[in-house]
Amino acid sequence: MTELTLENISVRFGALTALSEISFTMSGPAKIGLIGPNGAGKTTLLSAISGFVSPSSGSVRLDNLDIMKLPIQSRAEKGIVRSFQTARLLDEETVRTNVLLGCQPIAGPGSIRQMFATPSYRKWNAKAKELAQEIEQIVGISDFSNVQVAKLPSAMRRFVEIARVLVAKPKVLLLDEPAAGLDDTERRQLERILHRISGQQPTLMVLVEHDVAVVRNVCDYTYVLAEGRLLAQGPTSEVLMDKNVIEAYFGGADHA
Amino acid sequence: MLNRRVALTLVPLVVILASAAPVLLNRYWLFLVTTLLAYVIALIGLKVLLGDAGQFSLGQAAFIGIGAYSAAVITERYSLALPLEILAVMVICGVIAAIIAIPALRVSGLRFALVTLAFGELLQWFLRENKNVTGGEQGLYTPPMLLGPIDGKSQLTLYVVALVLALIFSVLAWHIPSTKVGRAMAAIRESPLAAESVGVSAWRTKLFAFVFAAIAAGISGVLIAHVSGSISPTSFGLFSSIYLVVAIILGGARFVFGAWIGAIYLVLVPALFTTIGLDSVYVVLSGAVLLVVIMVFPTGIAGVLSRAMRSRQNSPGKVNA
Repeated sequence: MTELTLENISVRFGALTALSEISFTMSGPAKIGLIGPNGAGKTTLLSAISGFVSPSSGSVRLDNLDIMKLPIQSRAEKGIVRSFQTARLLDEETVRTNVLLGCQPIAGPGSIRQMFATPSYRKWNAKAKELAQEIEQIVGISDFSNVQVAKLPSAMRRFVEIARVLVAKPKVLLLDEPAAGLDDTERRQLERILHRISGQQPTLMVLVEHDVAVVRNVCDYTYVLAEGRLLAQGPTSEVLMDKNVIEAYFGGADHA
Repeated sequence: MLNRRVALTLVPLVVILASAAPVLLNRYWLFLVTTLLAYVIALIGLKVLLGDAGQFSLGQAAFIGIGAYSAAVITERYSLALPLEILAVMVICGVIAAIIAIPALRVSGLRFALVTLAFGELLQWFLRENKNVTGGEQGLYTPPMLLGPIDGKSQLTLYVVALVLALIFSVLAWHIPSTKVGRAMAAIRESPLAAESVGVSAWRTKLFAFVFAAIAAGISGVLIAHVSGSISPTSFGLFSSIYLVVAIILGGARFVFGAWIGAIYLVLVPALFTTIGLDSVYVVLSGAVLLVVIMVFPTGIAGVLSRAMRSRQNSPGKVNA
C-alpha cells in the first residue's frame, strides 16, 4: 500500500502561478489519470512530486514521510521515478544499458567494488540484468537489447524509457504523456504494457495524459486540473462525463 | 561482444609484443617504451574522466607532477619500497583530487576545465617557490626505485613494472563502462536530466572519475620520475596537460585502446621524427594530423579502427537481427 499526499501545493514561476493550493491523496496500487487542458499544470505537478520543481509552498508526503526537502535522487531511492515528455535516453548506448540505468536507485556495493568486480557486485549486477531482461520482455523490446538507441524510431525510444522507469519496480511511477507521438497500434501496445505492469507490481501509477482515450482505457481514477487548480476528481468514467470537465477540457463541445 | 573480441585479440598481442620488446630494443628505446607505458596510465585516467564521464580537465599533468615529486621525495628521504611508494602516491593524489573536487565539481564544462587549470598553475607556483623541497626551477634528481632484493636501477625492471601497471589500468578502465558507476558516467555525459531522474548523484559520479584520473596520473608520475632520473616543473605545466587532452582525443577518448594510441602519439612519434632529423616537421605535421582527426574522425583513431573491425565482422554473409 502506497500513499502519496499533496498538501496545498503552490508553484509560482515569477508572476505566473502554475499551481495553486493543490491538495489530494492518492493511494495505490492504482492507475491514476491526471488530465487537463494545455497549461493546466499537469507536468508541473508531476515535477513537484519527483523533485524537479520546488513548490513555493505546501508539502508532499510519501507514506507519511515528508519528502518535500529531499533532492531528486533521494526521491528516486525512495521509489519515485518519472518519465519525460520527450524520452531522455543515452543515445550512444545500447537499449540494455539504458534499461540498466534505471537500476541506479537499487542499493548495492560502492564504485570501487564495482570497478574490481567483487562477488557482491557481481551478484548485484546479475540481479539487475535479470530485472532488465524481464522488463524488456514485458515492454516488448527484447529483440533490440543490443541495438544502439540512436538507431531506434521514436516510438521505440518511448518504450525504452518506459522500460527504464519500470525496471527497478518503483513504488510511485510518474509518466509524462507516454502516448505522445505514438500511433494507434502503439497506443494499444502502451495500454497493454501498463495493464500488465499493474497486474504484476503493486505500483501507484500516475499518468499525465493529453489523450483522453488512453486515460479512459487505463486509469481507474482521474484528477482533472484546469488553470493550476483541481477541477474535478473521481472514477475515470464519471469524471469524463462531468459537465464542468467537458466545459473546461473540450471547450463545451460534445466529445465522442 | 565486439569489445570482448577486440580485447581477446589485442591483449595477447600487446603482451607478446611487450615481452619481446626488451630483447629487441636498445637502452634508448627501452627508455622510450617505458615512458610510453607511463603515459598510457595517465591517459587511461583521462579516458575515464573525459571519455566516460565527459569532464574536461586541464590538470592531468599537474597530477603527474604531484606523483613524480612525491615519488622523488619519498624514495630519497624515506627510502620506501616501490609498493609502499605507489600506495603513498595514490593516497596523496586521491586526497588532493578530493579536496579540489569540492569547488571544481560544483561547476561543469568550461568552468570545470578552468578550475583544474588554476590548480595546475598553483602547483607550478608551489614547485618553483619551495626550493628546499622541490628544487625550484632546476627540479630534482630522482633516485632509482627500491624493490627489496630486486635491482631497482635496472631499466628492465622498471619496464616490467610499468607494463604490469599499464595492463592493470587498462583492464580496470575497460571494465568500468559496464558497471553501475560507469552507466552513471554515461548518463551525466549524455543526458543530465535522465541521470537525475534515475537518482544518479552527479557529484559522486564525477568525484569517482576525477579521483580515478588523479590516481592514474600519480602512478604515471612515479614511473616517469624513476625512468627519467630527474624532474622539473616545466614537464607538468599547462602545455603538458593540453597535450594529454589532445593525445586522448586523437587516440579515441571512448576507448582504452585510444589511450595506448594517444601515448604513442605523445612519446614515440616525436622520438621517431627526432631520429630521422625532422624535429621541426613534427610540430607542423602533428597539428595538421590533429586537425584532420578532429574534423573527420570525432571518435579518434581507436574509434575508426573499431568501426572498421565491426563492419568486417558483419559483412561476410552475417545477418543482424
